[in-house]
Amino acid sequence: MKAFIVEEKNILNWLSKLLQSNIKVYVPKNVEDYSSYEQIEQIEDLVLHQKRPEFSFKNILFPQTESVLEYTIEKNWVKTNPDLNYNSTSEEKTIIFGAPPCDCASIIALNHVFLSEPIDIFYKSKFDNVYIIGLACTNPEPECFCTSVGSSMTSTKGSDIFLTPLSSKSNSGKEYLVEVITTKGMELLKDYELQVQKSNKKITKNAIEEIKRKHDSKYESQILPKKDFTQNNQTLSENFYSKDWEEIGITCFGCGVCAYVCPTCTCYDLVDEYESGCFRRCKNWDSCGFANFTLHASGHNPRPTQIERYRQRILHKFTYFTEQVGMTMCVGCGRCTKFCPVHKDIYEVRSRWI
Amino acid sequence: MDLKNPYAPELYSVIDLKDETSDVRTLRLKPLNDSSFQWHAGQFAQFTVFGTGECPFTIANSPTRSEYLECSFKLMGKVTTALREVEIGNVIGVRGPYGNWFDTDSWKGRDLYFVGGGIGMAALRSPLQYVLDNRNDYGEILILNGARTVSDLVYVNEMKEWENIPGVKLIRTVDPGGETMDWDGEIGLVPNLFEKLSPKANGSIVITCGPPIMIHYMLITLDKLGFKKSNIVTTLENKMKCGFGKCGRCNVGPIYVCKEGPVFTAEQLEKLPKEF
Amino acid sequence: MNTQNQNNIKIAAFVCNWCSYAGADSAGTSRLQYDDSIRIIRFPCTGRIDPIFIIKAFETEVDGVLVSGCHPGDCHYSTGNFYARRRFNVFRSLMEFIGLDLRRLHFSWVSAAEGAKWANVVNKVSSEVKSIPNGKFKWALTYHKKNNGQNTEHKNKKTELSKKIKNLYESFIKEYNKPFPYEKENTLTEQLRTLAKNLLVNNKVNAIIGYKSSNFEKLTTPVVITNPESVNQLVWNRYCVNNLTSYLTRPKIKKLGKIGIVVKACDSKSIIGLIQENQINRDDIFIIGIQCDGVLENEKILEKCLSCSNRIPVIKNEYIYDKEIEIKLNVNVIDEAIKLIENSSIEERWNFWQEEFSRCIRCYACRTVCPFCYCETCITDKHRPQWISPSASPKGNFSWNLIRAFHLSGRCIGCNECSRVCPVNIHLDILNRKIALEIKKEFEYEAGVSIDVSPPLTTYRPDDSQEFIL
Repeated sequence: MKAFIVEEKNILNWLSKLLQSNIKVYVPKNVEDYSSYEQIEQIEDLVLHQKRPEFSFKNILFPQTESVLEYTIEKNWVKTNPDLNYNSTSEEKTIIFGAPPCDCASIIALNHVFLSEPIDIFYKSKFDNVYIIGLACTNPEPECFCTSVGSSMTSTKGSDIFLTPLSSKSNSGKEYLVEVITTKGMELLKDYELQVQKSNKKITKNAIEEIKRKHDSKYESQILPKKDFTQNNQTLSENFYSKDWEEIGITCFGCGVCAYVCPTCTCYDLVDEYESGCFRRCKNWDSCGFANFTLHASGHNPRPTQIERYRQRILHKFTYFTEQVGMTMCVGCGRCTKFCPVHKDIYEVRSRWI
Repeated sequence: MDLKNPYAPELYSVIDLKDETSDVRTLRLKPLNDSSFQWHAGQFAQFTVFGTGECPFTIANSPTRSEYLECSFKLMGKVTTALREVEIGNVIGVRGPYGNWFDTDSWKGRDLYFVGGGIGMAALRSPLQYVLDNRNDYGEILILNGARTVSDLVYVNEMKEWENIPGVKLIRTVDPGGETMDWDGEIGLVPNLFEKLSPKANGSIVITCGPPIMIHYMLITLDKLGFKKSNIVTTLENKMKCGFGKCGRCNVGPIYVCKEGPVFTAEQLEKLPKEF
Repeated sequence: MNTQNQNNIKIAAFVCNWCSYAGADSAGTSRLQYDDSIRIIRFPCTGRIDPIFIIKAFETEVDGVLVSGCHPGDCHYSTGNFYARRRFNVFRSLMEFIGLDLRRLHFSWVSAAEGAKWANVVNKVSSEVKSIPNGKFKWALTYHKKNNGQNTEHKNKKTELSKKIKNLYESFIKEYNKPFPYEKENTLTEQLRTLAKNLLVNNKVNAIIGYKSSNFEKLTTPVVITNPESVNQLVWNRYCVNNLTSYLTRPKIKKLGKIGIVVKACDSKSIIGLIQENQINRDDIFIIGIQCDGVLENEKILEKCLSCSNRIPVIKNEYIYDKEIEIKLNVNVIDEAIKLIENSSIEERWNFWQEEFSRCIRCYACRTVCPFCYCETCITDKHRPQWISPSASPKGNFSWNLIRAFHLSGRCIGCNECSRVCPVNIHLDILNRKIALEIKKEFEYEAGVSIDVSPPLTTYRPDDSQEFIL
């Protein structure tokens, strides 16, 4: 849409302006025991180019537990709480700043699930008020494989505004290429003006590509080698009954870590809970790895062991979703590999069938 | 923008209940508010027992009888246990309808075989009623209803009424050992019995629903009898939570049973991985 | 009874049908006056009273709990209260450790004839509960409107205590994370492969559970080998962190028949436990012990290795070792942390654990990696009734983590896999170790040492300590 070069200090000035105008700002942050996207109150709390947080910002849009219905039972009557309806103004404006491209890309998968008919109003009211400012990845982890799922360290997928640091430093300090991707991003810049360099000439498309190519090539070697996981997804389903799944699945313990740290896993559970006179229908994260996930009340389980459950996870990400949406339901962040108690490697499993 | 909360049910009042068997009960419900609830034969809805949770059931009556809503359920888990406690006059929640439906238009002029086992008959009741209410549009109708024992047969009284409609043949069967002294129906498994009837495969439609093992053998039998896979219709069930293709529970291969289903032809089933 | 209850407190009393309930009845018929804050719930026996009931009662915001049953020796079922006595002894110290004011939790023996004692006990319990300055009790909340259902009261609010514990762990790791002599890894791997091949070729086992290297240099992943040709996948090195014995109870693995399994000294203890609990048959497994000089994750030695005192597997068919290297650091950082917590005030302890558990995301990784969490349906998956709230809210988290820890009491062998895999680093190791220490002190029992000794909570002694019982 629009692109220009901005000094780091101007970006920080802009961000502190946003902070002062009561906009919630979430940034990647270490909170001692783990790292995630946390709200900051002042610009001093921001550390740029941090390691990628261990948890994605999924829980800001799709909280781990969220009340979607409240009711009280009175004698033969049920009263539901009317507050819980769609209201685009009920949520505060929120900026997610400095998210790596993999996390930004997850938005597309989340949107596909929650904004398709019937629209999940709880997601929508949050999404409508969230602005995502992506930052080119400068800290890839050894488990990363974003280039294999059609993304890169500078992919703008899912961001409203995207920043890429320039390798050459000007005299005045670090500079960034700022790309405005969506109208939402445009809005944000219009409402809160960002100081652009005076000497700024229009940047050509080629120049942008050159900057990005340079950045990508600098970090490509630090992640797992590029393979194409976006194509030939048929091979996976053709091998549905392959013996390999047995070998892969038998060591899976069946916890929910992979799904809970995954930026794109959207499966959830609905439970009615009671507290202090009020019932709440809670929408809770769930995982296809749990035995309970598909267990029928009759005792029949269509996916009886971890072998079928692990296969479901892989196939859903790389075949079923891809067939429908045209992108993998995996952004290549490698978090599931990193957190897996038995170090099950999604990249290795997917690589078996390409 | 005015968007509805997709998780909020409409309130319905229980106006009647009927015990079909010792563990199957049919509820008749009426909306408390003006409801624009329109459904097709074969769709399902999520029923809320307030304070306990939700459970999906097929809508058991035909859209041609839309002054009320019926569902039949078998006592099984947490929600159905709570639903057994519901009495006439109580309020329950309903949201829906969800899923696809039987393509009753394409059945016009054809002979129809309804083959149901156990509580699976509940899914056939709605299309059956629909077809019977538009009796002149369809050919001969055969209803084959099986259950483990005589006391597990559902909709017994209704069956008697249906039997009297011209062009409708009813055969009821129980598993060997499930018969009583005065049982006048058949004894034997549904697929075997169906084979013995030597139905005419050409152009007729088979609508079948029942326990997985029955469906399994039914499909083999139908194949043997020369039924075209696209003329065999069945309904699937899977654990569901949301009912509209988001929560991911009922996902089988590329489809969500709640969204692309629950009605499938044997042709479609063949393409799915065997995870249902 | 008192007509007016000034403090408006509620106390749940779980009583056995045969003694204490009859005792309460007799107090009633004798027209004895006692405090009206008590709500009696009748059970067949104190042996039937599961700690989850007590947790559930606190969840529903009762201010105190009293458990009461027959005097030792008087049990209607002869021994129910002996088992209960041991169970509540452990549970009580767990609750004390997490910072529950013990004035809220009482146990008593009241016989059918002791109407007067019942009245006294109730009055004592209610006066103790009333003496707690902060009045109404709050366990943990499920819901907080401001933040989408998540109570953020404790989230990321680091207590002083947690900072101290973090520093303690860091200083220990720093001090003892010296490179161990690992140079024999390759030789051991070779020996392991030869043994594995022999076992498979000669049909001594149908499968071998071991480690194989992964795409990443510093990680290994478990592997199940059934083909003798694939034994070269097996490796042994300092990155073999997993406790593989958890696989032994999996139905898929059990179906394979006789299994060979690679174990470190610490893991071998869990095999003892599994045999004690009749989960596996000693004859169905071939235990390949292997010399372990400590294992690393993220290039840091695990805490358990610092305190590892016995590097030889306690149970084994074969032991693969080079020269026995005597590394006995025997420094126990977890024990130090426990001391730190025990020396803190009750509020500090409570806040510390509230904060720890508020992070829990309920992924159940702790449960799935645990060799002793083999229940077909875990209590947290049971929903008729729903004992533990499945939402990742402070209330559900708190109850889940406590009951998990309690269910492992007398069984946990301290492999610390649960705290290793926890994605939000909850100190489950401290909780488990605390119970283990308590059990050692009270019942002179250590898990994973001998097959012949009964686990402490499945047995009793008539003279078990009962100082805590009114």
